[in-house]
Amino acid sequence: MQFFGERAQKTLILVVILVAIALASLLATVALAYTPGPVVGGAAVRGIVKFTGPVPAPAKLDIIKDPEVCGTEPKFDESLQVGAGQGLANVVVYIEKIDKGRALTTAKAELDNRHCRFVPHLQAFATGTELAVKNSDGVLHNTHIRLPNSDVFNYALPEKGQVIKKKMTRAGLMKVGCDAGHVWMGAWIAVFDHPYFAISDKDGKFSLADVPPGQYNLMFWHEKLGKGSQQLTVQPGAAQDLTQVYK
Amino acid sequence: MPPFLADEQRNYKIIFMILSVSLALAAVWAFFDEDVTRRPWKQWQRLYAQLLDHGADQVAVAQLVVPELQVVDRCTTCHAGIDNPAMVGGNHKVLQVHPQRDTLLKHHPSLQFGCTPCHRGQGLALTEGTAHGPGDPHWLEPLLRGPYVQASCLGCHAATEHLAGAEILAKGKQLFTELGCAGCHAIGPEAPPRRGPSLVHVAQKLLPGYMVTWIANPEKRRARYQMPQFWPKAATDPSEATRRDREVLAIAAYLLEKSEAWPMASAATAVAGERAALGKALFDQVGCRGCHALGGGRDTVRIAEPKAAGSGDAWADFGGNDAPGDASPVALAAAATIDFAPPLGEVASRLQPGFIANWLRDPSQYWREARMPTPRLVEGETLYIQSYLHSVATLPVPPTPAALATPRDPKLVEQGLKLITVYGCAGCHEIPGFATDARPGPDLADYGSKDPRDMLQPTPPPPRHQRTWERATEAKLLAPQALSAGTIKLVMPDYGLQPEQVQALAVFLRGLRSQTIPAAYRAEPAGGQARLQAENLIQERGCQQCHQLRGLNGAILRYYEQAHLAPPSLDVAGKRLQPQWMFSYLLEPAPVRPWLQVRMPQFRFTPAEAENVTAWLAENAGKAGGLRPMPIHAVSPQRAEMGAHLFERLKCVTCHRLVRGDGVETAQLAPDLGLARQRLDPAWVRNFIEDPGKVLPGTKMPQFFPDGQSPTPDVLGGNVAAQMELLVDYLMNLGLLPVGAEPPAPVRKGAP
Ligand SMILES: [Cu+2]
Repeated sequence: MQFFGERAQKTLILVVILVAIALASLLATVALAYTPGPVVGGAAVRGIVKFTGPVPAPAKLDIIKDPEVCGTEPKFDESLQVGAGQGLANVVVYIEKIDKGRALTTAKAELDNRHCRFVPHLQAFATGTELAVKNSDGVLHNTHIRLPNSDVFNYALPEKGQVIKKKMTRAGLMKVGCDAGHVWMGAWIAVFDHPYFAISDKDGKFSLADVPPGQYNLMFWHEKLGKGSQQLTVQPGAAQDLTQVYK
Repeated sequence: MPPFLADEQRNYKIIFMILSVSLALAAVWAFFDEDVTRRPWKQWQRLYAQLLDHGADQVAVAQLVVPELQVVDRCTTCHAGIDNPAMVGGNHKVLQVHPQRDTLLKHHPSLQFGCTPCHRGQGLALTEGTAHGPGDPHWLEPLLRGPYVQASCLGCHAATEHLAGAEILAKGKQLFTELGCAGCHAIGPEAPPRRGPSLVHVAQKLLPGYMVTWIANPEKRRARYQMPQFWPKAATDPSEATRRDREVLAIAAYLLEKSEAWPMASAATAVAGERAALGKALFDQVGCRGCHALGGGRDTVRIAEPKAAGSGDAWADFGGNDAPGDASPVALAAAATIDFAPPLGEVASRLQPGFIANWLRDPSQYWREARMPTPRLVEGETLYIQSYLHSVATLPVPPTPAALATPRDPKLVEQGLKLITVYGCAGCHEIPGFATDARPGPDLADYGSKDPRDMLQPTPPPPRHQRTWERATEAKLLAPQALSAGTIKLVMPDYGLQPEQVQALAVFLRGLRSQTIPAAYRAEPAGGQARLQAENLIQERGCQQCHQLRGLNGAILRYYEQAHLAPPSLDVAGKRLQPQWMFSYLLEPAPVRPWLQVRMPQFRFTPAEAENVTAWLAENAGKAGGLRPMPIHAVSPQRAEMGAHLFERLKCVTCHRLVRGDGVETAQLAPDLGLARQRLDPAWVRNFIEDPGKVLPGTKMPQFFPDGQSPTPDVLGGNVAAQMELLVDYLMNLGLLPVGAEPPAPVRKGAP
């Protein structure tokens, strides 16, 4: 028995397949996306990141353009900063692929072009945060923010005091540079679609609050030293202290 | 029993009655047979009439008559529904509509073309066997089946490159050109350029020891062109191998003896060490890798790995929602072939030590028809690259066979001359002592109508009814020397073709017929020969090896982490550039982005070729008008001054120069805008300023007006559209405005 013509039947089959694919991919996205909700038995995860290798003197940056604005005082590479007790600063600490937990907190973030450097050199925030890109210098800077394989934006800031605001919706590790001849200018921004991230302070300390009980991968990233990770098991209400060592 | 009938008579009567009944039955049977068995078309006609609700009076022989093509086709007597779109589906294949009625019959109406000009077969016949063949060996025009029907397109279409439905034919035609078949077999009066390299100065290029191993056993070293195997039986037959080795020595002896002196500018030979390191840097950067692999055909060395998640790169592995854009190397999966030109991994065991440096100066000095462009290297650079390439070799230098050392035996040289004539080496290579139009193989202009009974058959010969044109041709192409030829010595070399290549070539050959097609039926390609020439040039010279164009991504792009350091997309260039500028750039590339390490080579285009390629690229970008200069919007001095003010406020000169010869430091950042007036398309500039990253993914040029906001609200009331228009007007008039003296453009030799 034939309800439809041959063509109609083919179309129907095609539609069914497409709908199935669409549903499947929707489910896949839902499963991966972060869902905020009440956290029961959440615990703090604190820790310290250490660097035990020899600390080289920071390299002096070669200021080859616009010295009258960029300043004549020597500038140094900011990537490797080791504080008291071998504590390693500027390490991004985050829980990998966490899919539920407390709500995201979005704040306002700023990235200033000041004396031909990006301030701050490294920052982390949640998606939905509004980033204000600012030029405090009188020269042209452009703030070019990239993910590994795509541009996030590339804004020109020709005017002193100019501010461009942009709501950051994509997650990932972003590299910041200025193409206007200031080859030494560089910064990093880590954007997360969940709230479980931190940046180690000058003594290498970090803390993550209200982590739901469970098993996770705790990830570490440092601009020069690369990535590291350790297993993290959170028991209900039991705060813990960790140490991560870079050699 | 009546008395007047005798017994005998009664018997006669019975016999007579039986005969009468038989005759009656025979008559009925004959009627039936005539109608059904011998005229099966009537069944189809009746069925068709029935399906269409016509009366049975519609049953008749149908006939298409096309006097211009001398066609009388009765095919539609059975294939009654061939041009009837209602005949889709159904159980009766014979009555079905032409499967490609919407395309093919639209362009070839059946009343105008008939059936046999494309499908062949016997148009007058009314039974399947005689109409279709080749069940009956006496029919010389069997129906073309499967892909072979594409062969017919060749009769009328001057170009088959873009014919929808003729893809296999087009592939066959391309193979015929690429394999250099025309070097030995004429198909027309024109002699195409030879495919193989010139051997006029071969003694200064190849090592004699390498020559003999190569001639005896040419390797498959890249996807496209290939020297064929002339002694295919030598691999299994020791006496053949002995003959081959003797003949190869004689051929090499002749080539070396007659090699003419090539004036080499630099006598410097390969030196390893520091020069090799500099040569590697050049080889990696100037663009050699766009066409040449280093290893034996495949090459995994990369200058910059794409940042793929899971690659171990800490940045890429971080996670997040990165979406590679079009210009990202990761997105460049469909790259052009990596082995477009010969791989350069083992040159020290192949080439004379001073050859590369001299060849790189200008390949056309060694070989007039060389496809390799002149790479625009300066003297020292050619030496560095030569040193590097000679340093990566690992194979030993092959010793020179005693017979090839000077003085060479004149008898051996004489023998070489004869062998080169027999094997037709001069069909592909320019060789001293051989005429430029030597065509040792038979003419193929009418090969497609050859009688299969006159063709060589494979051994053992197939049954009579299987000795078709198609089988004989495919067997010949697959193993040219394996056919039974009696006393004839077969010399056609073996190209190591794959079955699908064999079929494509055979389809093309099937289309070669000497026939006169009325002018009204001849079809010129869309855009004419100029467009075809441009497409051939783009393919032949390998533009897409370095540049993105029409979905094909340059093979070299995989080596670039940042798109703005790679050769630009030609899809974009067509939009961005003024055709007049492109034209002169193709003829004589002048550096626009001095910071690029990759260099546009000099392709030695003729002005006509450059014009055709330019017109093609412009048309590809949606621009009409050919090479006419673009109209430039003139501006008043007041407006120019306002433009200069905005230009200054936006600090464009931080990166862009305005006048040639000025601002050496900024020259490293962005193109010289002093060229904008001659170089850039104003409409493109406007779009680019609005959102640079969208127009040119990966560009360093920042966005000045994000979210429609201007950083200079005091100019033109902060109106972004008006500001962009002012910038374009200002830029396009720069050469005419008093921005300082404009010295003649100094062309930096050796820069990109
Ligand atoms: Cu800057």
